[in-house]
Amino acid sequence: MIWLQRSLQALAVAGLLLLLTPFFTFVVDEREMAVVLRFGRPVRSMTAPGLYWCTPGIEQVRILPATVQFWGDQNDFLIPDLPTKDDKKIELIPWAIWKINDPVAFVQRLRTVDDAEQRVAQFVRSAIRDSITQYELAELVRSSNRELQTAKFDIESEEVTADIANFQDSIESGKSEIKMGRQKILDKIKQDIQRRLLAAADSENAARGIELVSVGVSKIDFVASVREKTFDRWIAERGALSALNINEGERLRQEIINQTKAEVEKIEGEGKRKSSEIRGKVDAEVIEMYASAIQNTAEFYDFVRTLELYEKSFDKNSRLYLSTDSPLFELLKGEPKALPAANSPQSLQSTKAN
Amino acid sequence: MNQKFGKDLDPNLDPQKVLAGLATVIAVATLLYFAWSGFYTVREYERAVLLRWGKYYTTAEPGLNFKLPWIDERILVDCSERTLRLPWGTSEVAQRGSPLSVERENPDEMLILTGDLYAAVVEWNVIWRVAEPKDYALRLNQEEAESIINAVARSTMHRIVGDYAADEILTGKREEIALAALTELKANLEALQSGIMIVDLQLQRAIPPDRVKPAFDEVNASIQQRDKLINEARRERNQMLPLALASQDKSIREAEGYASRRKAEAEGEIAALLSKYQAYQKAPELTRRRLYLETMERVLGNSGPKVILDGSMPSPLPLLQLEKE
Repeated sequence: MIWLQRSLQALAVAGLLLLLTPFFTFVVDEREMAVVLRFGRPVRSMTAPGLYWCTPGIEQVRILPATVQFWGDQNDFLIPDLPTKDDKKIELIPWAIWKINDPVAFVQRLRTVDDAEQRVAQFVRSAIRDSITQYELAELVRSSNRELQTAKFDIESEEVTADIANFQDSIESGKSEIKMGRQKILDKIKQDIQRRLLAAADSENAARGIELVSVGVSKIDFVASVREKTFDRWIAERGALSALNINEGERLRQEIINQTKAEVEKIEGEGKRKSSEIRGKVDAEVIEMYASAIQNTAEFYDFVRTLELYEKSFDKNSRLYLSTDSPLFELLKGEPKALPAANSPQSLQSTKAN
Repeated sequence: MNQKFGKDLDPNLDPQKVLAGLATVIAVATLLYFAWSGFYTVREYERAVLLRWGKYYTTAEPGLNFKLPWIDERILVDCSERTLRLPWGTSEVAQRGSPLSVERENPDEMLILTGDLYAAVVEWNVIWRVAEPKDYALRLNQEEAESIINAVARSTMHRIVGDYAADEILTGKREEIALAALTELKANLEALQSGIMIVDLQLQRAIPPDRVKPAFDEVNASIQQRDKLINEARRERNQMLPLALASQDKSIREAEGYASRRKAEAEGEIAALLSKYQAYQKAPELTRRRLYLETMERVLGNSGPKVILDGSMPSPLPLLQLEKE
């Protein structure tokens, strides 16, 4: 029974201790750091986690976050109307991640997290304002000299060149060489803010006890009026591209048709040529054939053809005037002589009646 | 000390007993408190980061776990995969129920400046989860985690889009941009040592701004129109060429036909002539006379009126004149 009583007593003591400890100890966990103030004067600071003692009533403990703090990235934090070096109005939304690195300096200089955030915001804004004006817009937008592939067409050849010239003030980009690029500019801004945070106006108490972890710009855009102009220019450019496409279509169509017509002419010409060749060749052959045949039979051929000619030349409508001198009429005259021999009947005269 | 306490209390009670009773009550209360606040469950998608005296002690897996009251502190971390819809930065949970209402909320916000200083509407999803519960719980304020991812994701996308021309973003380079954004987002968040892992980045819509959209549609229409014109021309060509070939063939075939016919005729005629000549050669004089007479017979027989004049008559012309009338 005695052991039970002993353990009960031990438990009771432990319970009581647990109830009382919050009055004279405190725990700093991994996410926190603490400053112990004795009547407002910082006497100790704890940046490592653990259980710490404090004197109740005399000492006051300020617990501060050790985690990173985030600020920005909302439309409320938009920085409007920033001129760039090439005088283009832009607006941007910054953000920053920061944390406390020296709790004593922090409670003395900045007091609360909200105040610190205000300070960070101020520094970020002013550093961005100062930096942006030193760079051309292209430097802020681009990060490398990567060649941009835009729609392929020659704007000079279009009538819209004049239209687009109106928007000249808005843009020429991708042409100038990028020396810094957005990332490097941001790195520079970050260094700038860091330097400003550390170096304060009064040098004796330099540090503010905060450190910038990261800074960024989540949005860069033209101010609305310039934006509209770039849209106008863009629309004009697209319009030119549309017109170009259609013209190109017409041109290609015409080209195809013209080419086809030429091909048709060529094909048909070829046909004609082959046709003439074939005809000419056969005509020549026939002439040759006749010539060689007639060479052997010249006298007979003449005779037969002449007879054929007579036969074909005279018909019912022909009126013949015949002279009795003709050998045909030898018999009519009385004494028959010889009929014509080898020579053709030259004496036969004829006229054609109507 | 015990005596002192005892004196102040009711003398009827045995101080020893009272003290023992009190101790029992406190002990039971302590035990109850231990049990009540010591056991906790970690759900299947969670991990619990346990701090002892403020120092990192362990990370508890899902299940029933025990912690020492007051001494230990537990931080529950949701390790499930979560989606952020950008550029609005709404999380999956907030999005549930009315997925479209947010899209029209602030159309201006969605524009991203491109390398050629135009702008594009780019929408993308970031899928993330907690990979290192310890880092996540101890280095960040959990409620700020999404804001940080949003900011870094927006910056990254703006920077990458800023290095591409609007045309590239709207057409061919989507994959490249998504990959570059994922790589850079991972690297940027890793630099914060936040324990956050980006699982994936999906590029959703990449479209021109509303005001410029009609002009883009027009360009698409013009491409259609161009292709239509070209196809029309091709069709016409496909009609014309066969006709031409047919016509060519016709010319050639006709010529060939003519050639065969002409040659055959000539050959026939010549063959006839030659055979006639051969026959004639056998008796030229007689044949000649016969042929002449036969022909004359046909000629005179077939012809019209005939007038026979004496060969001695000086001139037949006056007579002819009369006949005419």
